[in-house]
Amino acid sequence: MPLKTIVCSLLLVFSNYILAQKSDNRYQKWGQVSAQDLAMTSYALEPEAPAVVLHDVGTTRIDDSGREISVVHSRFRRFKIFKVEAFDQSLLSIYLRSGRSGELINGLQVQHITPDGRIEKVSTDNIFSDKVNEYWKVKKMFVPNLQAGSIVEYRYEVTSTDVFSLYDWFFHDELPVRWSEITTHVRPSFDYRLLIRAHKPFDVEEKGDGVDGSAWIRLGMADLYTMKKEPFMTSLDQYRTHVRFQLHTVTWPGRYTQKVMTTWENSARELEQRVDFGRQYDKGGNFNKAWAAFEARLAPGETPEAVAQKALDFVSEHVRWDGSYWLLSNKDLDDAFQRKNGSTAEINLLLVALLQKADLDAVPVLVSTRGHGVTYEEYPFIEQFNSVVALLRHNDKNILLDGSMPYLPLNQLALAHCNRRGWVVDHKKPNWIDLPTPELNLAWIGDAVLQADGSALGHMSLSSTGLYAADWREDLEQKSPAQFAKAFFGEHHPEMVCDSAQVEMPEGPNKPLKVNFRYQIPGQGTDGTELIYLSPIYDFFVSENPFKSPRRDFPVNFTGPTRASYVMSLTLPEGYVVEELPLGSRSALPDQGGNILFSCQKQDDRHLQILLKMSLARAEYGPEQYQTLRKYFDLVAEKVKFKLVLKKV
Amino acid sequence: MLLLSPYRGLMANPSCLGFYKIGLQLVIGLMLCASSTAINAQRYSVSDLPPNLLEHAGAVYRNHETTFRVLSLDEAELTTVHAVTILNAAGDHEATWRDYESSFVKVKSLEGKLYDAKGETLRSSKKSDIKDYGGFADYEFSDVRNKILDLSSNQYPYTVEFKVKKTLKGFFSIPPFEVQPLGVSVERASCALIVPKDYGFRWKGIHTNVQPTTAPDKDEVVWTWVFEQLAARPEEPYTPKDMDVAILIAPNQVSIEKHVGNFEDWNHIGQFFYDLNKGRTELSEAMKTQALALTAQATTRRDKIETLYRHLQQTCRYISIQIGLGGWQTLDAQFVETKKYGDCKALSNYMKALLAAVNIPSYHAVIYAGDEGAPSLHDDVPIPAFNHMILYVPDEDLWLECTSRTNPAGHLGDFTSNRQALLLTPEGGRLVHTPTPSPKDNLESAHITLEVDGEGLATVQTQFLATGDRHDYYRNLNTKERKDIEKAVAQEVGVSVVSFKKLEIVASPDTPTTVLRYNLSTGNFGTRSGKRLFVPLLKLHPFRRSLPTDDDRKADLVMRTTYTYADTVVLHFPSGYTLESAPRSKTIESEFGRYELSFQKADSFLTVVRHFSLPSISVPASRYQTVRQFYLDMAKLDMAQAVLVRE
Repeated sequence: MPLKTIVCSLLLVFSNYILAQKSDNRYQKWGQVSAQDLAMTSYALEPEAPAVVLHDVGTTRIDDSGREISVVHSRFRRFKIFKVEAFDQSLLSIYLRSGRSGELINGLQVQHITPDGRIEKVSTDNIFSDKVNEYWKVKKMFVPNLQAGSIVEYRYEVTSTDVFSLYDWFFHDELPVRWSEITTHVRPSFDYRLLIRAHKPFDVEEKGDGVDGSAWIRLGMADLYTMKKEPFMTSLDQYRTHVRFQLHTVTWPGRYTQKVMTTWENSARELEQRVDFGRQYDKGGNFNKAWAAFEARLAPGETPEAVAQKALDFVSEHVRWDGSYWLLSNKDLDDAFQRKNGSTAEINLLLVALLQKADLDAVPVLVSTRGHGVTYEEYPFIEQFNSVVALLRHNDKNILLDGSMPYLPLNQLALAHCNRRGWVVDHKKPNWIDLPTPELNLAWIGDAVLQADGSALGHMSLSSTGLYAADWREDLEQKSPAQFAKAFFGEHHPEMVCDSAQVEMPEGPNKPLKVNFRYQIPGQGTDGTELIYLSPIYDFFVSENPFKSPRRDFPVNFTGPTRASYVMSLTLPEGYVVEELPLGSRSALPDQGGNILFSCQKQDDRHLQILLKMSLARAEYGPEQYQTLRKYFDLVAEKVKFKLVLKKV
Repeated sequence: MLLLSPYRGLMANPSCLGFYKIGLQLVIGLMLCASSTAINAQRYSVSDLPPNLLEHAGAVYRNHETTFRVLSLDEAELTTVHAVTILNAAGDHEATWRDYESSFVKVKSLEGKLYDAKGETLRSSKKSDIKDYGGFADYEFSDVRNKILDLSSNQYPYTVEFKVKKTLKGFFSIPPFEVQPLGVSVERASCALIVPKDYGFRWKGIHTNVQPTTAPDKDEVVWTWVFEQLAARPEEPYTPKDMDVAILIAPNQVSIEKHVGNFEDWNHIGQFFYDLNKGRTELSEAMKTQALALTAQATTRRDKIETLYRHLQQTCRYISIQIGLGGWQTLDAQFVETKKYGDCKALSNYMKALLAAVNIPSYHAVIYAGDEGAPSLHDDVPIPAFNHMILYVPDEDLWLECTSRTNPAGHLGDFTSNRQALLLTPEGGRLVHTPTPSPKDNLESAHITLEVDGEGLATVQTQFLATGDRHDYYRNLNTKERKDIEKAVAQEVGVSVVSFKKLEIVASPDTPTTVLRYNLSTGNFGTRSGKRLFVPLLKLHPFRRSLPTDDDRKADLVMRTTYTYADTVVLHFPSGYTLESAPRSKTIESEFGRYELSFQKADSFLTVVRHFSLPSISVPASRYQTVRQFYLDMAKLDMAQAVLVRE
């Protein structure tokens, strides 16, 4: 189900001047339910679904009749319940923005059509308004007397003043959807760019002119399957069919045309001038206290890399990430510095501020986090982003910085920020840059002296780089090296004991973090025969195939390319020989998607060397690759579990 | 394992029950209590802390002063000054003050300060730093709002100081003084209770012998408990409930919205809640007639109850609307009759009304719900620490969980079983114990036929019976769509499933029993190594309990869960293979359970029979290692594998 992105101008579409009537009505009017829908006991395309959205119909128009231009969005949704398990679907909530640019809801009506066709209006004592937090409010509708076979419909209108991006429309839902459509009416003075992300062509695609001079477009799609989140996924929104309208130009009658969404240059300039963005880190910004503390750490003649590293250390030491992703910062950067915690915007804008003040060429980079969804590089609107990282430019070299996760090296971003591409906020040179994909590297290097009871005594060195290393360092703040080794290496060996554990901190940015220790793993005992069976791969990236389920609906996302290797030198117990040496093997995923290498080699009569390596070249594998990927992990699991058979001589 | 019964998530939110609000949320609020202005900054320097306060501690309560002042029967003020040094990330949660407001409690002021390791002030909180949350889940509406002030920092150690002032208008319990939770040491803590001279109350120290001083004033008496230099006790898994050092206070009389109650003992407390909820079971005539019609065919009283309970489950759903006294007082039965929704009280009350319509008496029972058990109730300081309501039918000795759409009648599950509940009867309250499952009540029994080929791929046929607390998960799973069931069972089975040839769950309507049957083929199951094939025998239904290493266990070991595994696995060899080695039969006998594993060899197959039963455990810390070793021994035997060899 590849998603295709289409971008077009509504005005261009309309310039064809097609006079069209809204054609086939794919849904029934308020209160009218067909006999078939009333009698329906399951949805043919997804017979097991506990409920189906019969239709979801949206209309958006711009109202410029009043003093203030507003956007009016109406919605009419109807669903049918087949099983009581779907009752929760009827706990309907409408979330609305509150605050200054808040939304107003009007004319909310809800009704219940009972299985025998009676219409029960849902009275207002079943509808509750609640404030979620300072940004959101909610209307909760508790529909009485629901039964299997009930149909519920509701409609309402919301008004906002945000003409820049109209209401997004998502065609998919957590239930199957029989029909979904959005009609958008625009005044000729407003030109919108239409951004479409769809997995198949629309079933209805119509446009025309209204009597009042406005133009409209109607997009509808039938038979949308359920979308539910699966493990190893980024964001569901990335996979849902979706349209969005972004304002491009406004023509003021008899006056001039104002480009709203003109160029990336203008968007950058606007951001740079915003009080809650550019003004925070430019010369006028208030980060004096942070600067004073930071400046004390600087020495003359340091390279930009060295200063960048210091800034990163400084910020992650002083400001703890509060768990929120923000694009803008309402408060001074010094406020976060003194508060000791802050959002991604506060943390990374502070990095930009300090680097700029240290006379370096630093700028913010806007990103859309992995949970937030994909970006549209074609059109400059900042709502597509929700977070910020910092960029230092030095002689054609780009160094990315992210202070939201402590111990990240330069050029590595916290996981959520590793989402394809980011946009550089610089009106002189706005551009998209590739964000680093985190590389996940893990290695086990060790030896073991085996005893006749199957126990092993040896040394082990665990090492990691990048995101894993940062993760380990956070973990090592809580745990002693020995506790870490026990929890990590000893995960499947509860009786393992270890000592002499120590941590080797990396000296250079790309050097691995190492945890070295001595360990002993007790054996399973012998069964009295002359044979010993051993599993000498004590720990690895996976111990078994993580993909148990035979099916997969969405891509598998591994965060980043992954490499793991295990090297073990074994000394056999005295008086034993290898009964049968396992064969080495090498296999690969198609299209250079990854490799597995396994070997078990005899050094001499009592010494063996085991090597297991796996790599996954990509961060993401589509559902069509799922079966191959499963087989790949089957093979990895088989090698991890491989048995060494020793025989008494 | 995902062991979630359908109603579980619903009850977890503190806002869904008034009992919870008064009884326990204050307890939680107080754990993070708060501090006084005139203290010199140096006061919070970390270098002054004695080493014994640093051991096992994520945080140190530097100064914790709580004053609860009773102004009248239904009015009180709570002021707190709470200074905490956060030593490491394990103490981070202590840097956040979590409070709430409702119709009965108002936060008049909440301020915080952050200090560095030297005790120098880094910043003072602003009003805008206090996060105000409401809304909660989509299935609930209440007047409770959370007030949260987070002062956490990245530079350990650091100190936060909170100052909080709250007023209470209407209350029926005094929040316990939480002196010391696990993982926290205390430099100094003092709790003061200021009451009018004629105010009657009882108190009790939990894990402490500290005695109060009293200072009578003209109209008031001030009771003060002071604690100093309490070393931290470590946070450990499987500890008993109620590990915190606390002072419990129980007023003799309470008043809330003009409802005055005698709270001297459980009988009177029960009477108060009974009176608050009585007279709300009137159904419409039509509904009464319907209840009679529904049960017309039922031959026994038990049949009638089950019929009506099923009717409730099929027609009603859990939605919680709790405003003001609605946190403790049920909505009328007719509310649920017309709307077909309600919270635990409303649904229990509606069920009570349905039963009354067919002349079966029943009682509301308030209880503390949660799969980790409940805090103790004390006869000498009765505090109604409840967060849930269920229904009890005395004539059948039957308990009904009215918020579950799937439970068979009488099945409570570990959400409310095995703990005390307060029955609300016309004669007052009565503490009763809900049913305690025995190991054999919670059974998992698998019959597995395993065929492995020379490549190590397997086909599996399984019949899996689960009962009691072990069955809820499968009953709930059965309401899902097939593809979700497939995903979940593949995860349960723990092997990479290539395809399901058969998959069904049958949930008994009358007993807590499910049978799961599946036929499936796997990817790599046995491990090939040259001419040998290693096949794990119990991988499809492994024993999962373990305890971490701990050479210095402090707290008693308490494990509530009890269950039995009874399994038979038959492994068929691929043709051309014979059995080279299988472990020998073995039995482990222990006071903590009995584990029996036996093998029976035949020419082309091997039969494995495993049986073990684990009782619930409550032993002193000194026995920790013995229990741990028992589980390790079991886990080791559970790794049993057959070694097959090609001829």
